[in-house]
Amino acid sequence: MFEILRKIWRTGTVTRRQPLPPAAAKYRGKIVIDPERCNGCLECIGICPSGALRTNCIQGKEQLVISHEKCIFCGSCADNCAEQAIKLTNQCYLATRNKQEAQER
Amino acid sequence: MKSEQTTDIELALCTRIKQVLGSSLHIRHVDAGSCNGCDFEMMALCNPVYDIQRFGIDFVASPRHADMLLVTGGVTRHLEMALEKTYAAAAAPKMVVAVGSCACGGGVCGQTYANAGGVDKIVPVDVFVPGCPPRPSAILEGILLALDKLDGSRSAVR
Repeated sequence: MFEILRKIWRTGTVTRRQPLPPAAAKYRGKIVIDPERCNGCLECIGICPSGALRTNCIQGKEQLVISHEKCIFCGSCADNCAEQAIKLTNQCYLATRNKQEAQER
Repeated sequence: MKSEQTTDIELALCTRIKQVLGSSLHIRHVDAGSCNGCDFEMMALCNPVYDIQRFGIDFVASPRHADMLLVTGGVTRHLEMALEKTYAAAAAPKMVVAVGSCACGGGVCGQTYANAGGVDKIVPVDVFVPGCPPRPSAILEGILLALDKLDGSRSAVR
């Protein structure tokens, strides 16, 4: 009995408090569009199964916009982008309180 | 050690629930026509890896026991009334969290004759958790965000 208690005392805490881990590197998470590389072929809009991608006029320039509230994170847009302007990141924490924010990210 | 604790979303959740509700948080899961992907992720919250019951969060069988509704699926025509009734039956102040892309804005099903295209078209939603399906940890983050909302509304009322 005393032996066991002594061992426990010596060992201390072996478990550690784990912060929520980032998703795996291959996880299909938040989609990032690089407007500099995009050449405006709009193939991604045609291929998107849920119609999450659209063009929007930002500061007098047509730009590609994704709404994450429609996106199903299939990655077809990134696969079919010739200029590799669309990239999938492993960022999975996308909860938001206002819908506009989810639409314009 | 301290800096690790401050970044810990789970610990934050635990303390937040105690602060805001004073006791445990009970959740009613409403399936409003989802494909069950989000439901499985939600049930994964109860498994030993995430284990939300250690924070005092529990899934209950009736909306009358619940503080929060977790709604999955873009609301189909048949489940519209069921969702409305569940929302009415939940005790105020009620929080609604839309889990998954379908619940947030229609997702792959979109807005059609048979599909309302988002929970916010039927009942007011506090937090949107996009993802197809969202990770269990992302759902946890959504619950934490919703608790912030509840705190704000309570201080406004009282």
